[in-house]
Amino acid sequence: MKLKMAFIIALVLLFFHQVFSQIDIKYEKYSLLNGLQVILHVDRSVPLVTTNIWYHVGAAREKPGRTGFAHLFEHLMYEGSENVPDGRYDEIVDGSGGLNNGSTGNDRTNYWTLVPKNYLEPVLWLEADRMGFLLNAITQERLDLQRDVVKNERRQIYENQPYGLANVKLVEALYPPGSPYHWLPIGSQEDLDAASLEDVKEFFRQYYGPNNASLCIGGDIDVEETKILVDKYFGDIPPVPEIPKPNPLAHSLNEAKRIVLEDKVELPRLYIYYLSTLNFADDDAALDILGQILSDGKNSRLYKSLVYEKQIAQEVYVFQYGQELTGYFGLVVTGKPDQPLKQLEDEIYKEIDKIITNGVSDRELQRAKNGLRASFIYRLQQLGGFGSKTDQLNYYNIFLGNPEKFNYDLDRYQKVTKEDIIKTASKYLKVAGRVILSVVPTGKLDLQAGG
Amino acid sequence: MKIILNTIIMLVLFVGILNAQTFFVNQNIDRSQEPKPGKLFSMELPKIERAKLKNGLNILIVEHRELPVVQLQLVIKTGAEGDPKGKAGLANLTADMLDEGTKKRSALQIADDLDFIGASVSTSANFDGSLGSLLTLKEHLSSAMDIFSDIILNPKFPQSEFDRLKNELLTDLLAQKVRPDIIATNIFNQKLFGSEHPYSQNLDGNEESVSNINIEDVKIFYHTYYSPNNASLIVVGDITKNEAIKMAEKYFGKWKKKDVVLPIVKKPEGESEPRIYIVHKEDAPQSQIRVGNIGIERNNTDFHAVNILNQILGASNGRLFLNLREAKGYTYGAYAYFAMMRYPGPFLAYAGVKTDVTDSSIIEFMKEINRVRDELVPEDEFEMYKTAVIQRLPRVFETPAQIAGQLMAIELFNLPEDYFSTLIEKYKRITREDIRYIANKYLHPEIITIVVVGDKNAIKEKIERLGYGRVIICDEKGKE
Repeated sequence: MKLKMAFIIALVLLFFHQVFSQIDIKYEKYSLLNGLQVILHVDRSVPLVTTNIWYHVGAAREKPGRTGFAHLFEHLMYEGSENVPDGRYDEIVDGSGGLNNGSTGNDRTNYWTLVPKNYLEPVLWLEADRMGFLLNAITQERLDLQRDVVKNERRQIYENQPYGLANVKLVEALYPPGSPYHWLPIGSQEDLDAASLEDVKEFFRQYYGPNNASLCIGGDIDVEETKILVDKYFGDIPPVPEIPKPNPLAHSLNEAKRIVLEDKVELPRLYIYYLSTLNFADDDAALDILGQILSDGKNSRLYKSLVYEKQIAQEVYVFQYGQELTGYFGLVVTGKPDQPLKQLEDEIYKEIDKIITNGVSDRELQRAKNGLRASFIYRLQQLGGFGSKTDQLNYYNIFLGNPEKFNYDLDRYQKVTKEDIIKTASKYLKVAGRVILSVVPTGKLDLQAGG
Repeated sequence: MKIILNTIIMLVLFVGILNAQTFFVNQNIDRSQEPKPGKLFSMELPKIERAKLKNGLNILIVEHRELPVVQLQLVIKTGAEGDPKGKAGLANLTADMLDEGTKKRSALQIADDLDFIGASVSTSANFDGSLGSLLTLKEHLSSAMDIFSDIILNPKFPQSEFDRLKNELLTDLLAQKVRPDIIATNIFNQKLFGSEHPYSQNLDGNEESVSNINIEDVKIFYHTYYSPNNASLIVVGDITKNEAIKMAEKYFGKWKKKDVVLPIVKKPEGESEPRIYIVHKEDAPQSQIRVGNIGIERNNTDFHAVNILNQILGASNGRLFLNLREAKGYTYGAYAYFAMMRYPGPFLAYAGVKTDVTDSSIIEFMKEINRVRDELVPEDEFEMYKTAVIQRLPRVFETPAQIAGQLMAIELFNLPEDYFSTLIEKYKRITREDIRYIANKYLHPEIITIVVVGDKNAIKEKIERLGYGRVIICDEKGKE
């Protein structure tokens, strides 16, 4: 029996080795004198190039009363810079047949383009100009206009969307008012209104420089030519003052906070958020896998029990959200029409307790790991854009200081044991401190999960 | 001057740490000069290999060896256009039921087996076809194919799983009732196509139509249309032509062909006057606007020109976006497109706008529609949009899933063998005059249909004052 087990392990190891060698992403990393980190990745399978810039700044570097700046900046970055007239950015990138987009998180903002390979130089010119020469182009008028667009975004994605305000309420309750994670990147309408031109410029001067950025260029490129172009356009952009490395936050939550939100929805939804741990911290991978075991696929614990068998829930979603300085573990269950959330809450605790008492099966754990590994590889199919391989190289580079962390990242999931699952479940989910949010259809407060 | 100064300061700053690692070029570049793109390169679109099994199943293969991954796309050439009257959503529900149990595997087992090898299967339907896709690591290809072919060929359609799925779908439809964007599009299609036409319906159907569907309907839809001679199998990825054919033969060779009678879709009645429908949403901070008319079918010879028109009017740097978002700040985004399917689909322009600028936004929509009909697109602008349409081609052939998606169009619409090789030439030949001509041919302000979902009390009077057409109040189901 033991022998057979050893044989299986050997096979599995062999198998991993094989897969690892297949996803060896080749790249070259170097830095300019102004501190800009550059990652070049050659992929000639299609005549495209992608630029992907991460700034190591997000909503968690904003100040209370001045929220939403990092995201507002994301918008202003597309409105022209000193040498690029308003609208020219989109004319060039979209006009090339390419794509571009940006996103703002708590800890980083990213900006990418995906264009035909003959557009590399115009795109580098655009990206460099808005990295180094944006401020003088931001006028009161442009600020006001983009503020309006952002407020429309807030209306559309948050206020006018079912459950849209849930996450706003959740992080407000989970993190104390002084915490930089107390708000979402979208910010508040009041803060956006209160932002002066000078406030916005000051934020830029602090964070948006080459020494706080990582530029990844991928695709059908000539490495030497690309280096010369990068030097030409980015080499003389002055760095921003050194940014002190922020320390992880020691948040605590000692009680169960219950919130209820009446919303224009048809289905009641229950959110339970626990404080957990940082991205890449010790228990982060085990919590990720725990989330999968609870909610990914028909055979996951909560899906199978609540959606498939009892049919009292419409969908479940469980996730570990490890951020740079803090993290939380979320369970989100949408009930069937008029389903009391109390019952869903009880069922969730029951399933968590079952895992803590009886553990998980080998197959459950391996299924989660295999799924993760496959999705790692699938993600590499895309050269540019959110979640693509160039985005991934920058992600590792910004948060781990090294773009080649694919294997390390995969490995930390493969190392998770059945004991780790039990341990993390009881460490993070068997505590009093949590936020329980009930979102119920207007007028149906009786559906909320009570105390 | 400032730039040069910066460069000097930088050099001074870093002179101490200059080392061999970094090569620093001191170039005094003139940033005010926009660099021009390099020369347009030739594009090679992927080489498509073809085969056909004895049972009539078409096989299309593209080798793509970048990663150890294989993407399969099975296309049944009948989709929601085959939904019987009153049973909208049937094609979708049928596709959904495929992986809910086969003769040898239960629903849970199918999911477990697939999840265990990290393979992902999805099944769905659009108006033109019913689709099953499989994405798997190459090393698990045979296990994945064993399950994938099983769900396509041997679905058992268990009553209990059907009841669960139907209930889930009805619950989804209920949940959508609070989505103003979905309501707006549903009402728009309903008003545009009239209740007889399949395009008047949402692919998911509505509460009433889904309630009408029973398991027998699913079985009938499946047995009527799911047949190898009404299907194509697209294989893209880390696989050779021979491997792919052998695999198709092994897993789909025993699929029996039969006579398939394709559904007949009648022409919709069409409109005779412009109308504006308002669906009331108490206190809505935004109004969802839909504007359009019936457009063209996918096989129309004006396809290429219309695609450029889509770009001019509706892309994310198109005229509507630049006007309503960038110039006016009314919205987070405004877009438009002609949906080209087997039969003429909608031309649809849309946005969610601030409530107090609902009427002004409608004015801008109509202004842009009229402008592209009345005026030639300026040369520069036209070239930019046309170039974008041509040069985006490599981007839509990047991943195996994208390539499979492109090949799907060839199969669904019987496009000619040389379709991809002649595509660029056809786009290049389009002129500004062509655009004005087709804008007049296919955009119809005189019979335009407008739907607004928003707060009636805040918008109705202002919309009536526009004088664009009859204003009709209707409920969320479209009842007037």
